[in-house]
Amino acid sequence: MMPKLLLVEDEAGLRLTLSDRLASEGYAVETASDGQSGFERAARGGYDLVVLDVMLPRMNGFDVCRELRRSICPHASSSCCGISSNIAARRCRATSC
Amino acid sequence: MFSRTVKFVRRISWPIVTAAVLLALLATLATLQYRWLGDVSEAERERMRTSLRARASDFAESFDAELTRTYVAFHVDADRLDADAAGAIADAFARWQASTSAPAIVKAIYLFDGAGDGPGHTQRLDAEHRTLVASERPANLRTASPGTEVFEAIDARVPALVVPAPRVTRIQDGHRFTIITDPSAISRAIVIVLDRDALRTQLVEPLVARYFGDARSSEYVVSIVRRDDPAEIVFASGGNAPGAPGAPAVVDARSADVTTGLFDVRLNELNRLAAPGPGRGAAALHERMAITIVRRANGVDAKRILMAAGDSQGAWQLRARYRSGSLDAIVARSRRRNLAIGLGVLGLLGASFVLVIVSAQRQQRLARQQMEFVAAVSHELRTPLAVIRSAGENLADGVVEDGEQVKRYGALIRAEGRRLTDMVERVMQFAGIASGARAQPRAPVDIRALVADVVTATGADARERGITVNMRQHGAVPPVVGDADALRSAVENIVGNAVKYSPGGSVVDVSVGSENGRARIRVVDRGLGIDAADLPHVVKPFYRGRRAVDAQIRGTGIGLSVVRSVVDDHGGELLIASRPGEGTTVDVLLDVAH
Repeated sequence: MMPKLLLVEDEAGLRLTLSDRLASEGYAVETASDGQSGFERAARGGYDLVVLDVMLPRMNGFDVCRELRRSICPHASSSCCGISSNIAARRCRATSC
Repeated sequence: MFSRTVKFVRRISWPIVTAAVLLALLATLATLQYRWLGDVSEAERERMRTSLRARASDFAESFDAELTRTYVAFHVDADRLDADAAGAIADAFARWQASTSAPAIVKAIYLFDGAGDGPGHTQRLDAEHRTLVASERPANLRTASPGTEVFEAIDARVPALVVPAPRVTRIQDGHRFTIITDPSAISRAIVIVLDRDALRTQLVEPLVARYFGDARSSEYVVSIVRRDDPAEIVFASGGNAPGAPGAPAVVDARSADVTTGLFDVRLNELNRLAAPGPGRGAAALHERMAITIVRRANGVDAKRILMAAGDSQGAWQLRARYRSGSLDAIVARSRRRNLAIGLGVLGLLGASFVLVIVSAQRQQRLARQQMEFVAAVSHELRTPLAVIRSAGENLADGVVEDGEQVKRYGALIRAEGRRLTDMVERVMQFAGIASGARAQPRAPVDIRALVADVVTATGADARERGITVNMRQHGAVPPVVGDADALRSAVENIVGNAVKYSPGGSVVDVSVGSENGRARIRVVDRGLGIDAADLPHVVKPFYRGRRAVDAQIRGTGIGLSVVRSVVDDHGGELLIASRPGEGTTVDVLLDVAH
């Protein structure tokens, strides 16, 4: 069974190119275009990996990650991964749990 | 799994601490200065008072020395007085006249003999004929009459000097003579009536000039009044006779910085005269048999005392003060002046210090804004670049192969390329405005067409986010004279902002109309809105509202500053009204061509 992956990215172009790339590497890719809808879909569960942009409308990537950890952390099977073009690595670490 | 607590300690603001310390130092300096200036003023006042007191007492001493010399000069040997009274007194007068510098001060000389008022008891000296003429006793001298009472050496009211001439009894006892003044016998006295005007012109005025300087240029004001009747003014500096029109104000007792007594026979002056050596009037003194001075104090207790040096008794009182005001006032004025200058300097220091801090903070803020600008611009540039690169990688790696997909990728790369160009364009535009470069030449611009173009161009982006942009026109809009490219970019920024900050599914209304002879472009959105605190600042370069930052909406903070510059350049008006959470209305008013 193909690993299931949620890509949360507000930039339409990147959403297209990244999901094509990830699909070609053998993932079943679903997408969300803002933080809020991304969180709602991820919280329903069923994803092996959530790929988050950091600067997202309505709810930023760190918040989505933190909220996900809080609601599903104790029995989590999915991991979060942050991608961004200009956020310092230090801040990424500070929000991991 | 681990949790991590990040403790945020409020950072101490060093500039504020430094400012507080420096301000405290300034305040301390000001206090010290105030106090020390007070000490200096105190010392200055003391110095000035001492100097004035020295002048006053020198003056009084010189004046009294002349009186004492006169007093002593008229002591006549009792035997000679018995033998030839007229000759003895005339000789004494002649001797005195030869030695004095103020010969006019003696108006008349009487010989009083006994207490009676009649001519038998009073004789007046006729100096020219060296005779004594029987005369009436002047009315104002009756109280000074010798009698059983002891009389005073000075009668300030007349004024007169009363020189006692007691009769003596000699008792011969072998080789020794004992001379006894006979107190029971009716007393005699030589009364020297002084001329008040001559006293003033020949004695007081030269002495005032000597000790206090010329009347007109002197920095002192001097008055002399009678001690027993202060309303009677003997002398007031300024050159005029007292009471004459234009006479200078008399120094009253309260405003006087220094007062001293004068018009007295002084013991120390007698001592000086008695000592052998050169000196006017001194030569004859040691030959005399006796000097009698009888003087009552002017005080209420009427004790008999002899006046010693430095004693500030006397029939007259000298009052002196500084011409420019009383000593306290002068010192207070100079203290105020010094204080004002000192505090002014400290104030200037404080003000420049505050200016430096303000300008440093402004610099800091500007630097921070520019850093944010650079970060924002680079992010805005990186996003399209990231899209283009990842699309390119997908194409190169054969991730997409079928024709339809490849076409989509081509369109994507083209769109992102245009976005990059726009971005660069906007930065260049801002840089041009910031550097003050002149815009294109002015020409009539059809505002309606320009706005319609912009709305069409924004259409694709808006549709993608589910936002509808409506355009309406209210009546005919005359052309506006201006720079079409600049105006277009201004309208692009406004409409672009409206779309950018609107939620999906909302409507942006753009309308064009004319109002009071001006063209109006109005853009209304139902987006985030701007906080009241941010509203006055949104047109500043690099400034971004809190709501926009919180919502993670990308932007550089230069859009509205470009709009403002363009509108200002066209002499127009930019109005922004906003309700946080409900939306923003932007109006641009431009003058139309006539």
